[in-house]
Amino acid sequence: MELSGYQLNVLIVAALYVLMAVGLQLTTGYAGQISLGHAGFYALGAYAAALAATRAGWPFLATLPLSVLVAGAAGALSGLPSLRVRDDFLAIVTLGIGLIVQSLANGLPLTGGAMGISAIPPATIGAMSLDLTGYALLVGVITLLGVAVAWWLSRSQLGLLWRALRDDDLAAAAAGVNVPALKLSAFAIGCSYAGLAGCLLTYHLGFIGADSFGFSVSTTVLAMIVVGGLGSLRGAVIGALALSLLPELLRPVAGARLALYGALLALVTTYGRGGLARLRLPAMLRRPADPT
Amino acid sequence: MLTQQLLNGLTIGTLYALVALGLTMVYGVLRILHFAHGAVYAVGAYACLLLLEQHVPFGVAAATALVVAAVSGVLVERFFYRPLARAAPILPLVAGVGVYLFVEDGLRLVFGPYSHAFPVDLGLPALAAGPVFLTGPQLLILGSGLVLFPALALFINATPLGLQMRAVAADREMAAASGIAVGRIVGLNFAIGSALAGLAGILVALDFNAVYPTMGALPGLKAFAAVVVGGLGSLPGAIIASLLLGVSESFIEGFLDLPLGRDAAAFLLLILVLMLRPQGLLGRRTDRV
Repeated sequence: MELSGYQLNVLIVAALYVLMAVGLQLTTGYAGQISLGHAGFYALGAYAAALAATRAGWPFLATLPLSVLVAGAAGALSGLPSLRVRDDFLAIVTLGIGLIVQSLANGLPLTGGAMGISAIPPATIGAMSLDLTGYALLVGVITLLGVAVAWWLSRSQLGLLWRALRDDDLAAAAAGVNVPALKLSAFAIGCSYAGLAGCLLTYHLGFIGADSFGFSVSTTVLAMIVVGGLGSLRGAVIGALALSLLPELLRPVAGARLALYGALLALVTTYGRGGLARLRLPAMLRRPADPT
Repeated sequence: MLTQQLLNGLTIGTLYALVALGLTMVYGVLRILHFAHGAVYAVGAYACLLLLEQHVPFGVAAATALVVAAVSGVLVERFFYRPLARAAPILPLVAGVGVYLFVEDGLRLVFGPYSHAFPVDLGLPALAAGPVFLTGPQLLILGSGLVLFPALALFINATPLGLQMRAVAADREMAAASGIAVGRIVGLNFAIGSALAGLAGILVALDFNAVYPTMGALPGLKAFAAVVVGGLGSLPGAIIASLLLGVSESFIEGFLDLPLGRDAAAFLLLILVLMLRPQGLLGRRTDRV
C-alpha cells in the first residue's frame, strides 16, 4: 500500500500523540498525579534535540536519549509541588509550569525567541538518511517500543505501587511505600515520554517554535486519556488514535477539533463511565472472565 | 511615572479581582476550582458585543450580557459540577477544562478568530492630572471596583442571603440540616460570580476595544493565581492578591526586561506561594492545599 505524504504526516503526528498519551496515562491514570502542563515537556524534548543538533552537531540517535533525560529530569523537578499540594491545585501548578516553559521558549535568545529554531538537519541513522516513509516507519517502531515499555512498567512492582498511591496515598504511606519517590518517578517517567515525542517532532518538522507547545496541546492529550479511559494503557492508545485520526476522517469536524475535544473531555468526565476502554464489548468478543 | 504605573496596575488588578471573586465564591461553597470561569468572562463580552451590533443601547446591552453570563455560569454548575458533587475535586476541574476549551473554540468557530472592535463610545471623560493620565474606561473600571467590592462585602456580611451563603461555605451539611436550600445558594453563588466575570469581560472590551475568542484564558488563569495567593475562599484575600498581581505586573512590564512574559511571571509567583505558604496570604491553616 502506497501512502501519500499527507497520510504519512497524519500517522506520524498520531504516533507522537500516542507516546504523549501513554506518558500522561502513567503519570495521571496510574499514579493519580494530574498534569495540565504535558506540552511543556514535549517542548523541552523538542528544544533539547533541536539545540543539540544545530549547536553541537549531535546525531539524531544521540538526541533521542538526551530529550528523554532532559524532559524526565525536568518532570521529576516539576513533580516537587505534588508533594505539597492537593491534586486540583497540582493541576494549576502544572498548567503554570507548561506556560512558563512556553513563555521561556518564546523569550530566550537561546531558543530563537518567536522565530524558533530552524534548519534542523534531517534524521540520519549512521550514514543512512531517512525519507518520509523511512522516518514514519522509525517513529512507528519507537512508538511501539514505548508502548511496550509502558505496558511492562504498568505490570511491574512500580506500576502496582503507583496504583496503590493513586487509590489511597495515606494507606500506601502507612504500608511503608515511599510516597515522595513514587510521585517523582511517575512525573519523571511520564514526562520523558513527552520528551521523546518532542525529539521526534523536531526531526519531523525540521523547524520548531513555541506555538506548537501551547495549553491546547496539554488539554488535547488529557482529553485523549480521559476519552480512552483513565488508568488504562489500551485506553490511552485508543484515545490518542481516535482523537487524532477522527478529525482527518471526518473532514467537516477537522476545523472544530478543539471544540470537539473540549466537549468530549467535559462530557466523558461528567457522564462517561471510564471512557472507551470500559465500553462493554458484545459477549462473543469479550475474553472469558479472569478466574482471579 | 510611578503613580501612572501604580494606577495602571490597580486598573488591571480590579479586573482580575472581578474574575477572582467568582472563583473564590465557587471555591467557598463547592471546594472546587471552577476552570470554566474564564469562558463565562468571554461569553459576557460577546453577548454585549452582539447586542451593541444590533444597536441596542449600551446600558441595556450590558445588563442583558450580565444576565447571559450569570445563566451560563449556573448552567455549567447544573450540568457538569452538580453530577460530580461526590467525586474527587479533580474531576470537576477536568470537566471545567473541557467546557472552557469547548466555549473558546466554539466562539472562534461562530464569530471568527479575529478581534472584534467594541462598537460603543460612552463619551466618558478622561482624567489628566499632572503626569497622570487615566482614560474614561479605566476610570469606569476603578469606579466599579470601588462600588462593587464594598457592596459585595455588605451583601455577604449583612443580609440574610449573605448569611446563608456563609453558612453553606462553612458547613454544607449543617446548613442543609438548618433548612437552607443549599442547591439554590450554590446557584446564587455561581450567578453572582459569573455576572462579575461577565462585567469584567465587558469592561475589558471597553478599555481595549477588542473582543476575541481567547480573551478569557489569561484573566481566568491569573484569577486562579490571585485566589490561591490570596488564600482560598477569602474574599478580601482574593481582592488584595488581585490588586497586588496587577500592580506587580505593571511594574515588571514597566521597569524590568525579563525573558519570561508577565503572564508566566504570575505563575512563577503562584508556584512559589504554593510551595512556601500553601494556605495563601490570608488563608486559614485549615484550608491548606
